[in-house]
Amino acid sequence: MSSTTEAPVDAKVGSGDAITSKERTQFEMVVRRFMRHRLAVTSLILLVLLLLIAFVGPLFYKWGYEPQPGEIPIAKAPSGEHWFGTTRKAQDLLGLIIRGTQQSLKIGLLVAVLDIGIGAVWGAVAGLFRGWVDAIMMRIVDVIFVVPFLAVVAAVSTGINRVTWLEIALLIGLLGWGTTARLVRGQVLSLREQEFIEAARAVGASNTRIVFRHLLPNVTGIILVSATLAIVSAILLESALSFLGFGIQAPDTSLGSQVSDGAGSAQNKPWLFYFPGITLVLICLTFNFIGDGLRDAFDPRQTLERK
Amino acid sequence: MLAYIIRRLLVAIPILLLASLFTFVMVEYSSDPIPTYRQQLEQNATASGMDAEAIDAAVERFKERNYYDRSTPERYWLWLTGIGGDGDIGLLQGEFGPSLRANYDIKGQLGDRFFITLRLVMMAVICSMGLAILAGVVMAVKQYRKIDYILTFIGFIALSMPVFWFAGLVKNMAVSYNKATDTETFATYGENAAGGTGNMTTFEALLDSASHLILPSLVLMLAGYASASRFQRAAMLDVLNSDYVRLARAKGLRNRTVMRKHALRTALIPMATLAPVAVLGAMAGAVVTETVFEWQGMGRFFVDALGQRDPFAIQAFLIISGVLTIIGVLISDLLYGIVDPRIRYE
Repeated sequence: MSSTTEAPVDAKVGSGDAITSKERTQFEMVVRRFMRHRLAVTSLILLVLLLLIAFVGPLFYKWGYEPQPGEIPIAKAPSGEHWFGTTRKAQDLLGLIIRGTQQSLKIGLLVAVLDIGIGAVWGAVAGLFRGWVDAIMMRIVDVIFVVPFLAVVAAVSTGINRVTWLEIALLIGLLGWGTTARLVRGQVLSLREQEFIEAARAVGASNTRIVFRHLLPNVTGIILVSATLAIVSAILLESALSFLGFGIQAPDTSLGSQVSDGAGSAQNKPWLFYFPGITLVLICLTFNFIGDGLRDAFDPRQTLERK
Repeated sequence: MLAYIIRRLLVAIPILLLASLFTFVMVEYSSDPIPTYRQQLEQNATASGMDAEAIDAAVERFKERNYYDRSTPERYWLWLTGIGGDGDIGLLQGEFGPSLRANYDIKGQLGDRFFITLRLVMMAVICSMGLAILAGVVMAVKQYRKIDYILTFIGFIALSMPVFWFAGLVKNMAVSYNKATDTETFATYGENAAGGTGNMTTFEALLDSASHLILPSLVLMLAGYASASRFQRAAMLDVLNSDYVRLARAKGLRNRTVMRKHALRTALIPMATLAPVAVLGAMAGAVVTETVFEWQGMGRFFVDALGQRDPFAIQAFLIISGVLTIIGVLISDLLYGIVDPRIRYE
């Protein structure tokens, strides 16, 4: 978040709370605006909690995700010993859900990194150079768009023996950056005509420097919002794949395959169906609200007057 | 306009070719059916009385029948043009290639299933668009009021809901309802009654289809609704804050007239362009929905093909999706020009 220098100064003066004695950096403004979005802040706290539960929780919770026949009773309702109940394969459901949450978060975060790393740079370069470079780069994006996403990931992951979260995340990440690239390119096309780019050129800045120091910092907001959307769609895609049986498979687990296992007995063993599903909804909901908060926070037209 | 359409279609051809090459190579390297086939034969060797030589010969026949005796580039060319094949392959000749499964006709299956899926998708998209327009307008008119927050929250939940879980939830509730009332109000299995509609009157058949259609389209509505209602809200807000709406109010028009005649008509523009894209999204969502509700549609076709590792069947689904995507996006761009007079195509 190094967008302190290049942003046009006018943006600050124009916003709603310009009448203060102290000047604020853009970063401070963004944080303040984000804090106003109550749901986004709640979601951020929830996300931290989820991260803690997923990655630190296993150290404290008694049961893992492996089946332990004899130790763990089969398909028992939630109790003091097994908080979320147990499955038909003698697994502790909370242990499974912790593992599943871990997988979903890892996939989401890696996809976000790839989405920003490839998509944003791709879009910025295409928009900056225009001409035939832009044409070729965007046709490649078109090709990736035409390829049905779910279908290709499913087709490839069936071919891999025992797919892990890493392979799924790489597949989704390497195929899914098109939207971000398009959004960033659109923004860069208008940014590149502004004076500060011209000024940078005039003092002899290289193209690399213009892309990384001047263009990308100015589209941080769009990139971050786009990344949160990419996270949600990656998590939903992976769980859908695992639900269909083409994703992460036993002995490892994912929230999608847990829902798939529980779906058949939703009537008489509801915990098997509802707990993993609600966890999944919760994860996606937090990212969506954080994305919404970021969108508001980075929107220069947004004033602080909003309730 | 016509020149624009033709140019767009011409640009689409190389994109489709590249995309199909890409998916072909992906499918090719991720599933090789030969070892699986050989393994099957070897496992059944004692039962069928085949010796090693007979197995080799059978594998050779299998390779030849499915064109696996050729290299990947040769097979791609063959798949595309059908030149040098046995007449069951070649996209340009309208053939999708042989299936690895016995007595499975890819083209025939796709023909039957396409309209089953289309029925579901169209129903879902029309309902979700209608609902999204309604919700979007209400949210915009009542911006920052309680109803706006409630609808926004519902929208976010819809956006975060995995289709497969929502499908399971709806199915589960319907089963509970059927049990509680001891009726068959909601059909939760298949696209038609199990015995087929052959011995029903037209009216009964229609009723039967409708009762099977309700739940899956409800599920499929969800994803489309979530994003469309946000778009509609933003578009309506834009329009409501514009000068010409203020002018219409200022010259004393009734609020209802302003809303209906001035604001809503302009605010519907983004919806028109979103609809074709929503159809594509619903097509993808149908893969999961059809699996949960046991429909024999396109989505199920793809899931089966993947499960059986049937390369030409997978490829057939991928290329149809690709063509539909290009057509959908083109229609969406054209609609934009038709409904919005500010946009011209040259």
